[in-house]
Amino acid sequence: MKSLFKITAVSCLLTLAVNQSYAQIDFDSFLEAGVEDANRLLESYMEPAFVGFGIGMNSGWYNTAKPHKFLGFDLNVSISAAKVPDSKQFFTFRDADYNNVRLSNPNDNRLPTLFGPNLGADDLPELTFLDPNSGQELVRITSPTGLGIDEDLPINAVPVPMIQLGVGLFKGTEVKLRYIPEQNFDDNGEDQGSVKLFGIGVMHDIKSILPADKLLPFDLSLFVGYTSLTSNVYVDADANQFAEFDASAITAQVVASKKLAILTAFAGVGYAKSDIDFGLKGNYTTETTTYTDPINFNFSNSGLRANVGFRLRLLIFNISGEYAIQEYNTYTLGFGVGFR
Amino acid sequence: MRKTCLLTLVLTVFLWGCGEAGVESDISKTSEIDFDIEASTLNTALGSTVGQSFDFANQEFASYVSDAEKFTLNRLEFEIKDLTGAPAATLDMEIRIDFSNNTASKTDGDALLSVTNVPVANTTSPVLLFSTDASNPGIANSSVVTALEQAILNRSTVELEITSSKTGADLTQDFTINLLFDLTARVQLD
Repeated sequence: MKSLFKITAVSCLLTLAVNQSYAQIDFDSFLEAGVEDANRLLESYMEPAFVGFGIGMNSGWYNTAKPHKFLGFDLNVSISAAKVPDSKQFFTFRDADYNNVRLSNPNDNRLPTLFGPNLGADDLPELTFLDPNSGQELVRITSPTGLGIDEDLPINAVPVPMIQLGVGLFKGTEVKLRYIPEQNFDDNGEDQGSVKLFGIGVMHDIKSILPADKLLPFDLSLFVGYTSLTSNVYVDADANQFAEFDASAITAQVVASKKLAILTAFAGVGYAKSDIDFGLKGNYTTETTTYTDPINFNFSNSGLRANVGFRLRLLIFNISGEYAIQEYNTYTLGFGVGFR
Repeated sequence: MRKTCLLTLVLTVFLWGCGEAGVESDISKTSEIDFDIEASTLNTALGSTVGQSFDFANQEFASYVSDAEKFTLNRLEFEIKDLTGAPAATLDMEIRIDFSNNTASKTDGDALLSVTNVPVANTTSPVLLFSTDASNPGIANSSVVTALEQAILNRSTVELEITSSKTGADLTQDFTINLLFDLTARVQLD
């Protein structure tokens, strides 16, 4: 018996130890209705988490348009919060989209997504799962609830933490690296999974190549960044069942900034794209069938991205904030140390 | 347990986001319990009593019972199956529940409900005996229903007993009475 909640939480937030109790809802029941329906239901339920995570990965790359001088550097940690739009707190369940799952009450068809409100069982629509062979009712389960994040936090958002190092090279070029070597989790000696991160970005000063560069009262750069994150998390290590999560994101932006004493204001505009692949691997046995690698889906998101932000520099310390406008507007807070 | 600072940060944010409300879910299933009735035993004045033990919690809700905070009996229905012919006889039925699971005696439980003049014919759809629907509540003893729900929560095995007697002489074929208990487990995950 594996958890819908655990899988979702793990896949989008990369933490197996989120809450073991979420491992109690019987995921196998969803599989009883067949792989196709299980994929469709989970995909709709988890969409905001995945899309938000992909969007958040493109945040926090920079807090100025001025590249470091040669061998100047900064080490920065940040957390981005991709705000889930209100329209993504629920999805509409249509019986016609499913083969073996039905609404118990056809008029009650708005189901929370993972980032929807945390509703009690009395307020959740009920789903009826049918035997794919006989069409007879197997079980009725209230739809998965949302986490109700905005009940405790000021913002209903997908958090994306990041760590990166920026190093100045030459001729107005700076390279930024995001890197977490493969980290294995265990819980009381039990293998829980792993996560690894790699990202690279290049910022290049383009002001100097403009004909009137001395007249421009601000810094201007071109930035391109790519981030890749892979995580495997055991759903049941003994049964070799695990969730596989691959996320990649790329952004290209023109960035401008202006430094005023200890404050630097910056803004950027460009394009961002993210891809998330999620799979549930291993063998999952229902009363009638064993499914291998039953869940696989992909989310892509792309579009214009514009952002504004600031950086406060206190000696060698930086505090920065950023607001990015895109499908899921994103807030980022960063803290770091820098030199040159 | 090895974690990076960043992952710890995410964990903190997520746990905070989950709040203290936990997650609540209802899981509902219909348990079918068959009672084989021998027509020849219905000829006595007292009728025929058949009983069988059933463990709803572990047979139907094993995956959820450890997190269940309550069980609710939504509906109780019955079907008559496997009958040959169309006799004119009618049945009187009493359904009892022995919470002590005392299989030595089949008439020692608490009466859940009784019905009279049930046509002896294969039912085409289940016949409602009890429902939580206020507009059609049925006839069950509410205290026995409550006791049954508590027994399931306590993972107790109960003995279900049906005593049936007939009116009319033309019932000679054995048949099956199928009781359908529609139950909901409310699960609370903190």
